[in-house]
Amino acid sequence: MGNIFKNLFNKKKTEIFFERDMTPDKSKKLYKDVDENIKVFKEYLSDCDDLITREFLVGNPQTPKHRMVIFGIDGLIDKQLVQEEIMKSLMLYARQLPLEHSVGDRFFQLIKEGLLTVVEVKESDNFGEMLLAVLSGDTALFIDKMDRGLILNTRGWERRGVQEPSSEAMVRGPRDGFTETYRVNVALVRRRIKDPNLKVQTIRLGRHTRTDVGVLYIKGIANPSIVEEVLKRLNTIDIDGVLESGYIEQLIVDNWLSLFPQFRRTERPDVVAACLLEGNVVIMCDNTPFALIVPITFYSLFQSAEDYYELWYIASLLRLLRFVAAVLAISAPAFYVAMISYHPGMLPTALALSIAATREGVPFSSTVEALIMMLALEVLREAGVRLPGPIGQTIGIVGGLVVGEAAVRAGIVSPIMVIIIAINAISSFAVPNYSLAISFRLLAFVFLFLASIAGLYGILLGYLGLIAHLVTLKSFGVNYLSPIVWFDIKKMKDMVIRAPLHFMKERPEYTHPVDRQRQPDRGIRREGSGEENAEK
Amino acid sequence: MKLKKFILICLSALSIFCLTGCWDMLDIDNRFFVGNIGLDKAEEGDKIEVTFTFPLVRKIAGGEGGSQGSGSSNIARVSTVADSLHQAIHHIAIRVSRQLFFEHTRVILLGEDLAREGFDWLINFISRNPDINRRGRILVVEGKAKDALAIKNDFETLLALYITDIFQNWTISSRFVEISIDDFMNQMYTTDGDALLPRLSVGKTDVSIGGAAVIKDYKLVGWLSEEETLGINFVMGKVRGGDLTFDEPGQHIPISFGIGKARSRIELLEAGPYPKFKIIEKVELNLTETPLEMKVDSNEKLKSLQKRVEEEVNSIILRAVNKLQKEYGVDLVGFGEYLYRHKPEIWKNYKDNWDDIFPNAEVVVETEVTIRSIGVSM
Repeated sequence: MGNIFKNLFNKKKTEIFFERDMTPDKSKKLYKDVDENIKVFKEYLSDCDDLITREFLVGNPQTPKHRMVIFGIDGLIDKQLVQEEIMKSLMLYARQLPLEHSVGDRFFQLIKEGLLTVVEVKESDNFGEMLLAVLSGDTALFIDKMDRGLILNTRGWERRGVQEPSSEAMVRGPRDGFTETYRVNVALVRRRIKDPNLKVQTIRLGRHTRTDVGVLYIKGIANPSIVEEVLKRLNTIDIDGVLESGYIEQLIVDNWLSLFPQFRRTERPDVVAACLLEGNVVIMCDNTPFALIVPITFYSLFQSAEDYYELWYIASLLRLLRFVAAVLAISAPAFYVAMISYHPGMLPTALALSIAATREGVPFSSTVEALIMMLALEVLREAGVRLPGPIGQTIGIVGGLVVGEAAVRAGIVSPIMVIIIAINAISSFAVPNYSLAISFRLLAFVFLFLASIAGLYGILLGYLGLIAHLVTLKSFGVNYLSPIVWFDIKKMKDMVIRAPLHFMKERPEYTHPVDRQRQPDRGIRREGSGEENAEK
Repeated sequence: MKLKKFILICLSALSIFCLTGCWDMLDIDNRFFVGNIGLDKAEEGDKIEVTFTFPLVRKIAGGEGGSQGSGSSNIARVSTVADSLHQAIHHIAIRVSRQLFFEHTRVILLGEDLAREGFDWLINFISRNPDINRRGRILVVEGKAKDALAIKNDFETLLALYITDIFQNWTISSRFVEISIDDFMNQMYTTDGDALLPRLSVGKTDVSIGGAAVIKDYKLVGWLSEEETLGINFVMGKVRGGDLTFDEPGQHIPISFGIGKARSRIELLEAGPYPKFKIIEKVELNLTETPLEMKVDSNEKLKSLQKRVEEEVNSIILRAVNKLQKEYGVDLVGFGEYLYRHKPEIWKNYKDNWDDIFPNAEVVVETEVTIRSIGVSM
């Protein structure tokens, strides 16, 4: 697949300073003459009106002055920082130094080590690096008579604060969610795992976007071969831009034909931390609040962070409910249609009659009726997402209540069908993973089709096909239905039943962690730990 | 390559739907749920008169269309005269607007005249037809089945549910035969045509189920009264409740008991040319009603009362069994089956002419009555 993109890009070759592996082209070296440098640099960024250039003189007014110039992108640099820590230092405080005696390398070292008070300073001798730095929000400093420049970290743009993740809100648990800034996101994870073994490997993807993409894992837990595989696959990506982690997901997915998400995406740093501790590898991408977790199993998509914060009874019950909801989300309309059009004999007599009574006068067959309602619901859902908050609610009320009620009154649909479709929709939203829920909604149409041509037999065939597909599916080499395929009850402590935490002494097997032990094997810490603390 | 395989799989999966013959999609509102089948002897010739009733769901819903006060019934009744039940279905199918659907058939009513002529063809029909609901009931009507299906009352919206729900009161009555179509079919096959069926009597606005129809060789041969049915149920161990009431000499109102538990056992006492059976019955009773003057306040009085009830139960059972023996000559109390199961070597001698031996078998009944709860005595 990489070749296709490569060929595509070779055809219309823009002037690009970066190689396929996204490292800057280092061949174009800086000149000694600052004017030459300015000229070249400005040429690169010609017609870029957001470029800020500031030339100034450094040194005692009496002595020969050193010419310097800084470049930055308006909006990306923190102007306050540039003023206070770079320009003030160089233009004001530098006068107190006997600069006239230092020339050449000594002067350069003095500036770098003694004057600039920004946190991160990097030397560079080529245009490629400097250019990329400036475009990333850093400030480039060129000094006259020097073939080296300095890259100063002055990144500071308008960013959204850390907010509660809207797609994964929960009652119990931390309220912070990822933002669009990569470094902030990594920091949110780091704050939870203060371990030098938490590794963050950043690469840049996208020929034009040069997006930071990080691979996070805990050394000593995560299986090195999985980390290697993730990095290998990321490096195959050659695309003009990576705007969201969804791009990465789709480009490195195992089976692109599958309806099922093979990555778990989350907005919650606590989920990322928990997965890292279980031996997963996390891919984070700049400009998106969604982190990707690999490898995953089908069951991990039914997990929610809250499961581990609440008592295990409640968590297990909720898990069970989610699985039931999943079945309903896939096959509730299909099952209803199958029952009333193929197997009404299986219904209790009273129920069969009341369903028949509600369908009396409905002009459509039950399949068409279900299809109309499901499509209407999808339209409503889509409309609700697009519209701003308050109007979205109105759409919900108008669409759900008014139109539904009116449709029933008008005799276009039967009330029981409205109930079934409502159950189907609500069930799909009870599945914690949105991508999975959307897949289920799509599958509901497939199952409806199967049920309408073959009744329960069709639904059964559908499930057989579904299971056959799931069994063959792999996420980074891990079987999608992992813990259940071999059916070992000991490995299913975190599936439908969320076992009490002190039973989950080992990390899940599907990640093949290097270190399987999660809790020391010395029984439940209850009275024992209390006494120890008391002694201390 | 992969796509080719995928398309191939899709095509072969689709072909399944073309190859199967069971394309029976029909929406629920396009079916008539036949609730009752009534079978009578037709006026002319050998034909039968078949009556189907099915609810008109539009009227049950009570919405638009069906005004309840209009007097038209919620239930449609269609009759036809045909050579067979199967033919009747086809006769009626061309007269009604929707497909007849038999999986919800709850009640099959047999008219008395037809039942007396024999109905082995019905057994055949039911066993060959997978549509008929085996959990339904089959009853013999005292009179015409058609009349029973014309009953109108407001107990239930459906006549079929009304009739089948009466069977749920089995634990209060124990005076009729509780048998489903499935059980009946099994019995007909094992006994080759001998069974007891519940009897349905038609009133003005209601029906009642009580007593039993005695079926011998697929024919109705006679009836058992409610009390006799109770006696047979005692022997068969099928009594789950009900009441016993009898007059006490010298008292102006009878004494009533509620039946709690009843267990029975059959024993073979002698195996001469005619066997002698002993029926051991253990009954637990609750005292529910006595005359005010009568006080049960001592063990002796309780004992004498128990003795009195024992005699009464003995005679109820004996009368019922004797009726089956002498009048109908059909073994529906399970003596033959008892021998077959427990005394196979004795059964060997009897089995060839059991029909002659059974009426002459000697029967003794021994009842042990316990009155467990006498209520509050003043």
